[in-house]
Amino acid sequence: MIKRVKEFRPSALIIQKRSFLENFESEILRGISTLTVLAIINEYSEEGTYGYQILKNLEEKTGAMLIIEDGTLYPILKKLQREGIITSEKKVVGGRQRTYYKLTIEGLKIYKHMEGFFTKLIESIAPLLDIEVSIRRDRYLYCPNCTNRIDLRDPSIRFCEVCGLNIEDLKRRP
Amino acid sequence: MSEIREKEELIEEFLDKIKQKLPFWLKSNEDELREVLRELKEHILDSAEVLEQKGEAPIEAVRTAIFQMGNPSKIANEYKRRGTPKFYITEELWPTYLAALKVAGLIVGLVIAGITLVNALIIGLTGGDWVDVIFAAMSNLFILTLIIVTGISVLFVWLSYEGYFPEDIKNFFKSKGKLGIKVHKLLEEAHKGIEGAKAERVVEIEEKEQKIEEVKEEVKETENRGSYPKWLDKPISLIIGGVFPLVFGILAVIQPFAQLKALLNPQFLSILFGFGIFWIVLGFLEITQGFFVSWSYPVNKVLYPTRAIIELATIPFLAYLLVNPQIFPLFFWDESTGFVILEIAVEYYWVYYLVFALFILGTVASAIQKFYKTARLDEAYFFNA
Repeated sequence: MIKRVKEFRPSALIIQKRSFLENFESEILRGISTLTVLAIINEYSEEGTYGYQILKNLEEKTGAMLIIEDGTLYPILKKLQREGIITSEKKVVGGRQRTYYKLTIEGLKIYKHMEGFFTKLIESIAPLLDIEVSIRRDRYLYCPNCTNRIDLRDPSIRFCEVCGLNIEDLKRRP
Repeated sequence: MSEIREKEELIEEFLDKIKQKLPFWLKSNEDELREVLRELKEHILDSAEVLEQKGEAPIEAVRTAIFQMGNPSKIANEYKRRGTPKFYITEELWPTYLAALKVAGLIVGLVIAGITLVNALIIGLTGGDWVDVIFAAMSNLFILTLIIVTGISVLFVWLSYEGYFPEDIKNFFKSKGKLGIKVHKLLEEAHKGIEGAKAERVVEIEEKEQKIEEVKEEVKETENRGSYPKWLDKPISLIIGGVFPLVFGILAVIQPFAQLKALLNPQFLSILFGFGIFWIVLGFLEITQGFFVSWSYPVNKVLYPTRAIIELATIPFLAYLLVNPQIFPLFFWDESTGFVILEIAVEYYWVYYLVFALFILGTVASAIQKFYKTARLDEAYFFNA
């Protein structure tokens, strides 16, 4: 797990800079938490997934580097649900009632856009950070107009679902 | 104490801590609150179950699961992070904030009009300075507006900080209604006593009954849409009704007959001029409303109270005329000299007072009727709601 500044010993950093770094980390993590939660919900597009499973998946997929505190997941889910990005359904499993979450049709489009936006953002700042980012260009096309991620394995897609750009020519380019 | 009970108590204690710190919008919505707490509890149980499978003792597993949930205050605070920031008030609450300011503005206008009317009557009877009345009205308007705008702004900043949305405010008032209080009491009983289950059933039945009523209302509204009721003014009557004050208003303002004007009291002419301005505005608004009455809900919702306020604003003029019968002209036709203007004889002042008192009462009644119509207006009556 990435250790956050607020978990450091008080003597570890100059006190005045701690709050600055804490704010920076909170801002970055807030957006990433939403994106990763949506990414996991998207993996369970058929049956849906519940809170505990989302956190377990997040822990496994990020090698326990990115961890959302258990209690703070549910406000995120509630917010996404209110925005109409995800929908919920109650199911009784093993005698207990669980709430299963799924992406809505609109939510899937939004998620793809967020995913593309974040990927392109990371790619664009990579030289500044002196890191290498490898993008799966054989599998995905990133809309040059709005950064939406378009799955090339689906031949029926002819237009970007977010901005409506015709991508026929772009798909043929090597 | 049994193990299951101890586990339950640990979880309940933790959930209680969260509940206490949750925002008010969530606490006032019983269904949503119950759902939030249930989901958190399920998560703790899921987490504890896995920890138990890994070899932790049952109670310890629950303690660890609760610890992993995080700080109750932090969890509760996350539910306050709602809405899109816009200044200090969220974008979602902004229209409600503006609506609240408008309603408050209307109330302030009415209060000031009332105070000014009383002042005008006192000044008229005691012979004080009119400038004082106008100055008092302006300063009252300024101070009351300042207090109300500040109060409402502070309230909405707090509501934004708490993560309220407009529907939460509606739910809050709904929950404070007769049924809401009953439901709340029954739910409290359900949590506390052995009659809990029974009380919950009663609540469920009442909620379902309420939902049936809501659906019935919706059906009724749909049936009524576009067929506005008898009490709502007809467009043609508004347009014709608006032409008269508009024409009289223009005549009163421009005062075109110089010969006649020379015979009238200058104070009376000033009052006539003031009246004229209000009549022009009233006539214009009435005609405008006539053109929109059958299809625009928002136009009617604004124009009815606006016309009522303007009507109330004419009362000081009527009050002035009421207490100054000596300036009011009586026209007589004389075959040799044409129009003759006479003052009212003192012995007939009581008739004059009666007529003007009725005028004032009529104006107040007309304004009240317009406010009443504003309150009764329903989006369902309009095509363009």
